[in-house]
Amino acid sequence: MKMPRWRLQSSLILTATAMFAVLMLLTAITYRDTITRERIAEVENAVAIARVSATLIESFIQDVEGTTLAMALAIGSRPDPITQDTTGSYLSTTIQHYPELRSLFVTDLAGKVIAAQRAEGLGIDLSRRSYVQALRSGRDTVWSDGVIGLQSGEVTVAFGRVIKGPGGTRRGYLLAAFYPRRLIGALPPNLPSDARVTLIDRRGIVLHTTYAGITRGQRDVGASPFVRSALGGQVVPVAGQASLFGVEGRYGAFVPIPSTGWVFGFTRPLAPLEQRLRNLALRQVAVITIAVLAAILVFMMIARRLIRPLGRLAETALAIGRGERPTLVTVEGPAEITDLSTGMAAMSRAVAHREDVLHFLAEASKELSRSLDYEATLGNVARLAVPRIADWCVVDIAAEEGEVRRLAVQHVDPAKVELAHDVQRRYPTDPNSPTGVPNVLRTGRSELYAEITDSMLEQAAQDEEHLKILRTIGLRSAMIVPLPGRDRTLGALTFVNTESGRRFGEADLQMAEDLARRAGMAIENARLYMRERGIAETLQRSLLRKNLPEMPGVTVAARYLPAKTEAEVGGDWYDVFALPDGRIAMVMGDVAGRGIEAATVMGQLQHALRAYALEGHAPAIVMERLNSLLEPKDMATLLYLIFDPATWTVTYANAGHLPPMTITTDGQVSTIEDGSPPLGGSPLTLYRESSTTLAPGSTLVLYTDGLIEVRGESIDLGLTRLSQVLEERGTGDLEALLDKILSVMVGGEGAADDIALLALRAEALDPARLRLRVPATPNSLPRVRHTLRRWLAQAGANSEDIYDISVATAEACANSIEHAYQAADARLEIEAMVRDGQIFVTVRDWGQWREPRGKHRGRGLILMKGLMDTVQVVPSEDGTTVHMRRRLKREARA
Amino acid sequence: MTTVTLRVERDKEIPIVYLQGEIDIVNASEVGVQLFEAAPNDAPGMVVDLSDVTYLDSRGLHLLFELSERLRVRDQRLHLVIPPQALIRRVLTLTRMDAIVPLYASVPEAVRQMSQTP
Repeated sequence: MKMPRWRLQSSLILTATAMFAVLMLLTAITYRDTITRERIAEVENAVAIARVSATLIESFIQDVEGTTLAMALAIGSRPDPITQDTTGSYLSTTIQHYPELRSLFVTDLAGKVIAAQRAEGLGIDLSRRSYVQALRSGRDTVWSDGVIGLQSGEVTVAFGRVIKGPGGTRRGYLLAAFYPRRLIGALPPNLPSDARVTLIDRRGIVLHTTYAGITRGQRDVGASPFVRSALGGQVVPVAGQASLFGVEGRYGAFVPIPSTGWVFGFTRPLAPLEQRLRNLALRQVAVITIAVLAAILVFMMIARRLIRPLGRLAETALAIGRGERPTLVTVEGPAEITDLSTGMAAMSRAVAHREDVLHFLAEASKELSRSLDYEATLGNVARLAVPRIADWCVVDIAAEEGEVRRLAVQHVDPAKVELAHDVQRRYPTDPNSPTGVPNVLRTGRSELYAEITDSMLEQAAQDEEHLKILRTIGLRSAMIVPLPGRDRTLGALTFVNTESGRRFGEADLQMAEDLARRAGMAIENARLYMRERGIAETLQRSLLRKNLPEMPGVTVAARYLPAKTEAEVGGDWYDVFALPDGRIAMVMGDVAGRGIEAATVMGQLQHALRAYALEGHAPAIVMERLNSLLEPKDMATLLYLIFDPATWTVTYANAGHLPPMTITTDGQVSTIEDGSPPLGGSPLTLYRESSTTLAPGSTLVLYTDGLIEVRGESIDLGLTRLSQVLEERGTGDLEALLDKILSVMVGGEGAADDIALLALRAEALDPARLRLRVPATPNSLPRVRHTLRRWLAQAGANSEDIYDISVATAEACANSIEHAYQAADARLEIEAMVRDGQIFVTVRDWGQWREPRGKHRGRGLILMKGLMDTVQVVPSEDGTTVHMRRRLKREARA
Repeated sequence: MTTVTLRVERDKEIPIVYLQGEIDIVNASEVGVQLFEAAPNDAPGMVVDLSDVTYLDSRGLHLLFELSERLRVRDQRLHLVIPPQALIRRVLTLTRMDAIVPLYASVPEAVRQMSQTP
């Protein structure tokens, strides 16, 4: 399963959004709670206010009751009658301490005002007032209900108390009246402004209310369930309902006042509270939102500081991954980022170094495999190593006699190369040194000097001057690795760091050893290959080096052109030699494959063919024997052709080779087509033998496929081209013809494959005169004999004539060769003429004629004299000439 | 280069050597060695058939003479076979070889002569 890729920024935003949602959910959940709690608290608070207010009213009432009691006692105890004069000032003095009281007066027992705090109102009859009637009916104290004041028209409440004289006689009634409005106004002034207070008497009639616009008709609120319950003596809280007037929800309480049986109501509108609570919730949401936004902002800021550098580092990493070499600038940011940046820079350097090393190894390997000249190659490898791998690179080769040869020195600063050579000349390395190159060559083990200290230099230095030079060079770190061969250490590679200050470590040593292994292998392979190629070339040269047969009237020419691009020798070869009977054998072959193996097969075939041919086997038999000689893995095409100059016949067997071509003197080109399968195909192959006749003066051309094959071209085109060349130039000089063939067929850029080319031209001998010049060696004799035989046959001699003249001539030649001649390049000249049915033979040498010695040596001369009509030996200072003559038998018969 | 082939047969204890080809200065001494090796110690002699020899000169004569000398030391005889019409016969007669080594026209005759006269 593939995980979606999230960018850090997206995750942060997502997280913040989720957090916001959760917080909002929590707020929503707690909101109702909070509202309820707040509301209850407010309601309780309102109830408390109501209670306190009720208590204040209660205490005022008790105060009124207590004060009037004291006044009644004071007034009743006076002996004089109660009048305005006696009592009025007392009343007015007292009322000054009760601002809530409207009036304070005294009536007589009939209910007529007899004293008041002010003079007005005296004499008013109050007997019909209910509370006065209650007093007159015997009650000591009474609280009136709300009454509309006579003068003020305002709701007034009165309290009456009987005034008793000494002995308990009733003397009058003390009355105190007050406005409930004032009482309410005396309540603490810090009541909330939206609060509405209402004082209700025990009948359920409103004494006073702060509700505005309440008409008289609305004053009876006894029907209100709150009021009814409160009149019953309970504290009744209001929580959200509509209470007395209006329909809006309110909260507060109705509290009973026990001493008067009144009820005090205190309520506040609910709407502002709700508004306030709503505001509270909104504020909370706002705070949370701001907090979350702030958190997101902080996240973003942190993210930006992380994301940008991370993005750049990621791009850099990708670039490194693509194999680029981006410049690594130090990325600013938090410590984590700078650490990462530093780490990546280190990684990039390591990757680059590793790449450099791999690149170097690859290049070095290519270099090593490119050429067989390993000395030049090692020099190039050293050049590759500097400065990528080291500041210095030195290649030493162990020579044969334990000597060390410095092959290459490479330095970042070419001027230092000369210095190094100079130091080496002045202070040659001690071959027995326990460290350094000699030790590595001896043990085949690497040496690594990660850090070269001054004391190490002191130890290595041979004298003060040497030490000074070593210090100037500034060696920092070095390693020496052996060039391993198959059975010995071939040399050593030395890497040194100076200017760069780099230090070699184990990894560097491994790389160097790896390189040295490859180099060692390359050296071994090169040496092995050179040796093998040397063998193959020597073999091929020996096979191709021919003494072309010399024969009167017969010219032979050959060319061998090795392929230009191939490093190894090919399997093409030709051979040409005289058979014992004077016929000429011509061979053209091509062994499949190259190198020493092909050359070996070629050699075997050539020698076997010569052996079979000289034993006198016919071409088809020779082919069959050669075929049975080949190992199954080998394959060769071969053309074996015998030309008999005496009969002008060509006898041949062709095992898969290209057909030879002939050109007559009048420029007619034809191919000798008949053939059989190549050698090595099947051991049971039967080879066809064919023969044809050559016209005198004709040229025979044998060649290998390299001459006519052009890559991507039909072989017929090549054959056509060759026959065209032959048509044009086939009758000219034979050597020039071969040169022309090569230049036309191959061109200037060299042969793509090896080419062997062999040509023979046979011309009729001069029937009047034969002239031979041969080396004065025994091997010349058969040729002389065969040529003479051919010429004699042409001259019309019969077999007896031919035999006798041949023996006589051979004896004359043998005498010259054996006795008269020692010089290596000495030659014999044989001349034969036919005239008037007689054969004249002259054998001439340039040595000293000696009489034949020994018991049987005289036979040669006996034979000469016996076989010829005349024999005449003419010695001279220059040499000896033998003249012989014989009349032909045919002539005698004729 | 001159070639000659040499084939040895045996009639009872008499070795018969058939030579074919040319004998000249190039191969004469080699042919001589091989001929001598073809004659065992206990044989009464050997027969050399020269019917198919197409060339023979003084070198060939010399090797035949030497062969007969060496056989004579071992008390062995040499019989040569040469048809009367052979070209090389004249060489042998010219040099009086026929006085030293008997010449016969055919192999059976040469063998018979050798086995009859001990």
